[in-house]
Amino acid sequence: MTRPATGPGPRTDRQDALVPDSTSEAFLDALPATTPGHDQRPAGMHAGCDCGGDPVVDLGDDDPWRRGFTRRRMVQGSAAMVAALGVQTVSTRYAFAAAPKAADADTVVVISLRGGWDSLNIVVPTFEDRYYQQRPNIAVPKAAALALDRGFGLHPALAGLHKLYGEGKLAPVVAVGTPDTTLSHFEAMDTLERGTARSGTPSGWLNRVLQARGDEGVFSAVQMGSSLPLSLAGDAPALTMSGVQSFGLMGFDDVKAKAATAFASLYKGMKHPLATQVQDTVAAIGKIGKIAPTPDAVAKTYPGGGFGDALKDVARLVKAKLGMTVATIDVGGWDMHTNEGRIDGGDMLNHLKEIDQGLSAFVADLGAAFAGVTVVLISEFGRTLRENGAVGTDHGHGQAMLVLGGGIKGGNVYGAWPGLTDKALYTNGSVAGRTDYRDVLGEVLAKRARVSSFTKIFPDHKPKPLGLATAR
Amino acid sequence: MDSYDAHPRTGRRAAAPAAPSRPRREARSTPEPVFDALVDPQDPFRPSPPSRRELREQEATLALAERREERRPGTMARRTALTFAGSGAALVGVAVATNKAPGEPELDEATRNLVAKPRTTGMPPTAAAPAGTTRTAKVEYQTTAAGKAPKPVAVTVKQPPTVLALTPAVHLARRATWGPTSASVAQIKKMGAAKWLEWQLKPSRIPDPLVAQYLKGFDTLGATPKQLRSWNDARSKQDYWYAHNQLESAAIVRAAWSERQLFEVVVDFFHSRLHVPAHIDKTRDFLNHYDAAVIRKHAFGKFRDMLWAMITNPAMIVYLDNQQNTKFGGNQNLGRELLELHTLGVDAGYKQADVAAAALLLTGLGVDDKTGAMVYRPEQHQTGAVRVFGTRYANASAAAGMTTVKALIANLAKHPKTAHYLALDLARRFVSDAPSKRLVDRLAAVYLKNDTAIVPVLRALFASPEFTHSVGQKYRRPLENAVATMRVLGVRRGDAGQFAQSLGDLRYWLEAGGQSPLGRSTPDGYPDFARPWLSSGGVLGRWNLDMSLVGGWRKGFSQPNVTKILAGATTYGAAVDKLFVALTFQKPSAATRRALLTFLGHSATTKLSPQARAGDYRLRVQLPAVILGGPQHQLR
Repeated sequence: MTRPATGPGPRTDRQDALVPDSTSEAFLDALPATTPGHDQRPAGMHAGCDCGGDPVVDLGDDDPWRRGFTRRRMVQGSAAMVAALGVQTVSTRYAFAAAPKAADADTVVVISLRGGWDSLNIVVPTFEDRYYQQRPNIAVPKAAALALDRGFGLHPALAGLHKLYGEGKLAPVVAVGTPDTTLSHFEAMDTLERGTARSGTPSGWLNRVLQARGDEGVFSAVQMGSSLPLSLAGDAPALTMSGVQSFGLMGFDDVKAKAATAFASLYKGMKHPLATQVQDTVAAIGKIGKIAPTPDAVAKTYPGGGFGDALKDVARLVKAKLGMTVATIDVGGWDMHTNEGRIDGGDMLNHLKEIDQGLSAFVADLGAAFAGVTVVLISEFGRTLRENGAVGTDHGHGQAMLVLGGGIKGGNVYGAWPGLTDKALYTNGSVAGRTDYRDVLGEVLAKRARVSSFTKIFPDHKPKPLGLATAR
Repeated sequence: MDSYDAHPRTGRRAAAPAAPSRPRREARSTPEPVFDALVDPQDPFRPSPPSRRELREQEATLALAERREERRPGTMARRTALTFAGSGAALVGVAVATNKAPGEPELDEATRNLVAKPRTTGMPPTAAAPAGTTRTAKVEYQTTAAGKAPKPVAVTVKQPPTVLALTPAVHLARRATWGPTSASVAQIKKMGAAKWLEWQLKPSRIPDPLVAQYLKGFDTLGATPKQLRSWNDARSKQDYWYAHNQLESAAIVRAAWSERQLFEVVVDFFHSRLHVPAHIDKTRDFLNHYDAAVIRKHAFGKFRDMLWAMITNPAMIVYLDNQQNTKFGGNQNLGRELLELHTLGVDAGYKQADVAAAALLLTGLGVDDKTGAMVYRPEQHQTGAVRVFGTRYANASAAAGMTTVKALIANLAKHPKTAHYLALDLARRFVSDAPSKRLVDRLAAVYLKNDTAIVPVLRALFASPEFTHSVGQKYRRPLENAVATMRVLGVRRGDAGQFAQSLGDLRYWLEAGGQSPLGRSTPDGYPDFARPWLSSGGVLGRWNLDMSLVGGWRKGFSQPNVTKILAGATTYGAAVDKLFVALTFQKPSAATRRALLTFLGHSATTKLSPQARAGDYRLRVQLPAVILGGPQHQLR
């Protein structure tokens, strides 16, 4: 893939614009130690994607998605990871929001599956004949599915999650909907992350959680990756980093501490909010630098790549007890119009393997600390019931969410199931939404993060608890 | 729990909508009775959900109320006493403003006159105040709890304490350009501020060789939708965003290297003011033309003309969905933003019915699918008399629809609320985050008196004592920091073959920092006050960016010649002084000097050899980066 001649190109997941062109100066140590560059990632799940409702132009290899198609929107964070939808196997962004107050709350880890995941092949309705009729090639056979409550079954690649389900730590929620009706990645993510159908709302729901909780301070919102997801955009302060390892000054080599001290002294005695930010920044650089590394033996259990690294960093920060209330991780590559594949091969299998291995390692790594962590997996939408002609599926509406954590009443499948009859399906032939995603988030926040009012967080939806979490 | 669930304005409990409410800026797929609002009290848009501004206002009020409660008794008295210890009655205004919260009564005119005697001379205090030494007890900056910009304050004209030297020429260069250079400061000093301004206000007479040279090959600037569409097939294969990438890079090139600095600052201002975002699909074929035909063409003209150009430009029509605004089914996006963002301002007091009426007048204003040109379709225009904010439009014939729109634009442009809103925005850009109400009133009057012409407002602004005494009251936003750094370092184009890529990389960083040129994704443009830009990640990001520019890491940009700045310095103390003056246009304070020497690990008198001058990485690269990260560069 060639880089565009006049643009920053598709390197949407690295903060490497600052990396020196040449390595002649001794700056290599400043290189962000993050995920492999876009160009090194496998391509190829994307041909024919009609991502977004805009006029379809099949550009093949020149697909705009590969060229930072939505680059600009990342500024506001909305589609921070949109560029990763179909192209990258895994693209991660992760954001942390942390606060001194967090001792009264779980760390809520929101994992966004970018691209619209086909949850029908993840939390499989094995009791629905229609599912097997409509998916002659890609359905998960009933015999292969890992049995859940109510006749559902997990994709066989999710053995680790199935174990957590058995331990009562994992709660799938089926037929989850959002207010989005466009089935456009952008619009759907915007709506989802704003937490409201009001598109003029400039802040994200997670940021409003921080505001509602009054979380402020050096770690009140730490975001890893180069840009804030819309969910974290807003007035609560944000700390951005592309990874625990690389949050720091570039180009100062062996005098980083001296430089930080120098910066701080330049602002000494100044009465200006900027001075506070500078002192906070210097403090954050120092604190981050002191966090214990993950032992090699544990690190090895994580899958290679961005998702594993992100989870590893989240675990490090949880264990360091910096008072983190929110962390977000983005995993791209779920827009499987093609080569979604079957249980014995294809993109879905590979993606789920990584998710399963990553989360299993994460839970094991956290050990006792997992009691104070809740993980939510959500995508911008689900996909069509019917498989398409390319061993894939197209944009749909309803999806399944996965919630796991120490305070989750797992071992049950939650959410009303609308069925898969023509009448029950969403207009474009996908699962209808019966449970609003904010019901799930709202319950987690209320019970695990001591959020008591949702009028600002979800201004046009009053969350109704499903009973999937225990109060902290 | 849920104590603040009531609607902030009406006091009603916010009812959960039965169905998912439609996204506000969404093109509506089914016809809806937009215009019933005009005759039907059951306006489908009433009660309107609180706008984001309303929500923020509410939050700000709540937060302020909380802070007031936290405020210990005696704080006010203590502050007042401290300010009195300063110098005279004028400072009372500062103390009052410090403690004034929105909702508290404004000072009445008499009190204002008593406490706020504005200096009538445009002359600034010339002595560089030893900043932070005598009045550190006072706040240097008014901030807000929420994301809403600080309101204008009833405050006297008085230079607040600042760590920046009060040199008038440098102050003018910090505000009227994208960042002072030694050349621009010298030029202002030589010509005098007034003459320099007049020179800058006639940009077409100013040669602009570097920009001409660097933009050679940027062939899409100003291109019409029709032209771009004829090129898209061929060029999208190389770069889907070829036109926007050029336009955004050109924005940096012009900001950094144009001699027409004030013009480029004002262009940036109006891009934010009448904002159409880059890098969204809707605007892909339209923005380059919009930039040239609307913003650049009218930046120094009349606001009325700019508005007319805007409303008839396909970019805004498409961006705010006026294509879908027909008599068969309305879309109020453009009508709403026309009132809220482009003219009257959200606080003007207009009602939803005014929005609906404005939208009605705009029905039929669309874009030709094939050519991408603006087209008016009378058959889609809804006729019938309406009132927009008090003005009646007969709107009798569809054939005369455009004439009605022109009248609407003319009336909105010359409305006092528009004058105030624009004046406040300009004052916020050029003076301070919370400019004085008195200044805003004055600028609004100038605007109205001059038939919406922008240049007279700028003249009045730069001549105002409020401007003079606002040194250091603005925090550079990410783009402003990046460009100011390039300018002060004298960065030029480096390897021409890598220039485009380096500009792209710079934009990529700016995007991560939240301010790529033209990149704001919502129609309100980038906020022009400090609060939203204050974050630890942002601070670290700009330190790292400044380092990359000092270090010459991007080969498309030239390596700054720091050795030249250091010429003649024989001790480390002298080197620090020379660098600091070159980068910040002022001498370092004793404490700053000490801190910088500590960083270098040398004493002031340590001899500096010529070899060290040219080769000492810490002195040549790291020290400038530290200085640029300091408040003397980050504030303006």
